[in-house]
Amino acid sequence: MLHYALALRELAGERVTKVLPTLQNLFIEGLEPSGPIQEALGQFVAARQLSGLPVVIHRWDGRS
Amino acid sequence: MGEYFEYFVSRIDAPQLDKVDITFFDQPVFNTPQLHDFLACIEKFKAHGRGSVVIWGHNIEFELELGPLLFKLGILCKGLGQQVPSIAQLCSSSLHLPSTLKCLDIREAPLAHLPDWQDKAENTQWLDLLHPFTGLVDLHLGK
Repeated sequence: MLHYALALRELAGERVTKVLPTLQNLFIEGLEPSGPIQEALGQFVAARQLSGLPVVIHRWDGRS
Repeated sequence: MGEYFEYFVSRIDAPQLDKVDITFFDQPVFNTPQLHDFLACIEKFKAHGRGSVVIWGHNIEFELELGPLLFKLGILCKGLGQQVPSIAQLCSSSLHLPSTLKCLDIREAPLAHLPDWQDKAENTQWLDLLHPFTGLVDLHLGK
């Protein structure tokens, strides 16, 4: 369980521009089609988009 | 212990170091101006590289690969609830690099054993860990 990925949903609030302001790419290993991780990522990506700091989600194989 | 560590580090002059591995047991020393100065003198530390936070279960490590330089800062204590805030505070107080780092991985070690009883870190504690990395472009979150 990527429990640390769940923390990203906390950034959907007022901290969205204060933490990781230059982040452009988020690579996730073992990304499932649905679940709490996807919900958290969805909230985070939407908040970043609205703030003008878009982030792209990528699948990661854990190596590169 | 903190005074001894600071005194010891202040006596080292080795700007060509290739490997630095520091592990704190239970109670990390957060006020480490000498460690900050010691690391700032290592030329290779000024390069841009890749950082990793690796969770082992019994400890947590922050690793930096800066070309030939391998830097490890570890904390050995029980529970992510203690480990994550401690490594976050050390990264922000002892290192000058987080603000220039472009790429960071957070992952569990392949053979890490995280028992159910081990307390988890709060979401805000993970965010406190990420906060100093103000120049980060790529973030990798592994299993």
